[in-house]
Amino acid sequence: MPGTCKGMQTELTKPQSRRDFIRGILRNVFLAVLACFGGTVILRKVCLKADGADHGKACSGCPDLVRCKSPYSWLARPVSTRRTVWQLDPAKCIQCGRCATNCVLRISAVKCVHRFEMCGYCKLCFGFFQPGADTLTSAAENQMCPTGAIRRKFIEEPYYEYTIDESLCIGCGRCVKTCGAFGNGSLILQVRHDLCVNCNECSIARNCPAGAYRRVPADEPYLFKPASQNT
Amino acid sequence: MILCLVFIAVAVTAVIVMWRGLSGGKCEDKNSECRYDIDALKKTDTNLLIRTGVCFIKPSISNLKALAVDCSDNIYVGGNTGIEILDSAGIRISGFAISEPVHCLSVSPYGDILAGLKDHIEVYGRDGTRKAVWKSPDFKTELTSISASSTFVFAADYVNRIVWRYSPGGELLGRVGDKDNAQRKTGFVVPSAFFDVSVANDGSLWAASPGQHRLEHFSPDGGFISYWGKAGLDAKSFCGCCNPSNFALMPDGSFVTSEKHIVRVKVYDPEGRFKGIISGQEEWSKGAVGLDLAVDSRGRILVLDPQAGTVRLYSKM
Ligand code: SF4
Ligand code: SF4
Ligand code: SF4
Repeated sequence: MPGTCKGMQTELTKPQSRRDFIRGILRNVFLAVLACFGGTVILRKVCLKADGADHGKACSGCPDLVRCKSPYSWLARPVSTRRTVWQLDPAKCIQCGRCATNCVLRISAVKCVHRFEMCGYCKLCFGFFQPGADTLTSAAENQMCPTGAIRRKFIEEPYYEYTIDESLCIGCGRCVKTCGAFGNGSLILQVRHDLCVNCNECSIARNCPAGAYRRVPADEPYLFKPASQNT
Repeated sequence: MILCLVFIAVAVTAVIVMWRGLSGGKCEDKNSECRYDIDALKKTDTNLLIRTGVCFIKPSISNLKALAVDCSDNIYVGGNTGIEILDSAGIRISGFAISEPVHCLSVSPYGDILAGLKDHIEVYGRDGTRKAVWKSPDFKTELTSISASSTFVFAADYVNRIVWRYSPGGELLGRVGDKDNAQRKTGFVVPSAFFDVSVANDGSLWAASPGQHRLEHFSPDGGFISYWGKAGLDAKSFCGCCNPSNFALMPDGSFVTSEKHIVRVKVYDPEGRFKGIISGQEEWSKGAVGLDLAVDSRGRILVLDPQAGTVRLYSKM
């Protein structure tokens, strides 16, 4: 055939041997692994946190490592601490009641938690008493909690201590709502991690109208409002 | 025919029950869900409103925390960065910077500006010169209010739950409102950082005990005289865990009080009988808190709105 380039024809039509094919695959896999490893090493080395102790330098795992929000810090952490769990942010929660009803567990993993450092130890606790309760006694009709999960203990006049019996709490958030509306806001809801089974997709998070749920590091699984938000 | 009527009756009943709910439509039952409708509980009864005119003053300093009026009706506001002085119409006269945030403020009968910083009092002249720094009375002290007569200066300390009594020169003379278990005196009950004091025209002291929902009266040397006030969600009472958060005395001895949780400014007569509401929750943002009060010699009520950074001036219509 006149004008035909023999060499090119040979190159294009030459069938690839099975050995070459496998060799090519292995080479690509090797290069990919090398790239991942190299990238990981580079990322792990540089602290990108603006006010980080090692900003711009190799991350040496400063004391802030656990709280560090930089995505790269995650790589620098020990593998055992990289697990995350579901938690609700009390600053966003509007106490809609779904925490009590939407958990996959028969009795919700969400419980009321009392932050004593924010509590006024009030005689008239709005988390404990119904608004406008006739008398300040522990009679069931005066109590806000539908399950009687809040215990009221006299300390000294006029101070009382309130503790939550978590085995009775269903996480309905009624007490949290009224404590926040009329008191210091020391009662909050939290997912209890001794009960939560850490579903891949938390069924409360899916239905939370306030978008209060997020994943947090398993070694710091609770989200508390700062005590300075005491009003 | 009878069967047909029975069927219609059952159908109508079922529709009504589904429409109104099994517990009935109206919110009359004390234990029904409406008790948890916080917004309904916060509604102001318009029949109790006292007709007033209001104007807004916008000081130039930020993060307002403290408010005071002097005997010439000049207005003083304190914030994170300093103190500003305005005339009775709200026009800026002067201002000066202070290194620490001002938590509370008072003007003595001698014209000195008493600025309550976190744990101590500093005395300033109107031109901003610092005249004195009084020693902190206690390492835990956090001051929330100051009031001065010609013979004493009283400072409320919410952490120690005590009122400190000073001489006008800054000498610490004693404590007012100590807890005494032997005499069954509970002392002041202050669950949050709101604890106000005010000196009456006769030199006696009024101090809030917000956790007991009352105002307590003391002689100038700190002896307990009486108290008034009660807890409740109705307009006559003080709502929530701890109110009134602030109060001021009017020239005729009446009281103006402000509350948090249900945000409202109310007036009581000199015997503590409820007179009416100056301003209800609807006029304030939901999270409004720390409405410091002052009253000028004409009986005009000044209310600090820290969240909006303004001072509201209410006057009789
Ligand atoms: S579902 Fe969301 S808004 Fe509702 S109670 Fe739970 S956290 Fe709060
Ligand atoms: S009112 Fe609800 S959230 Fe509060 S303690 Fe009782 S069950 Fe728990
Ligand atoms: S993750 Fe699962 S068990 Fe945990 S709170 Fe959510 S729904 Fe309940």
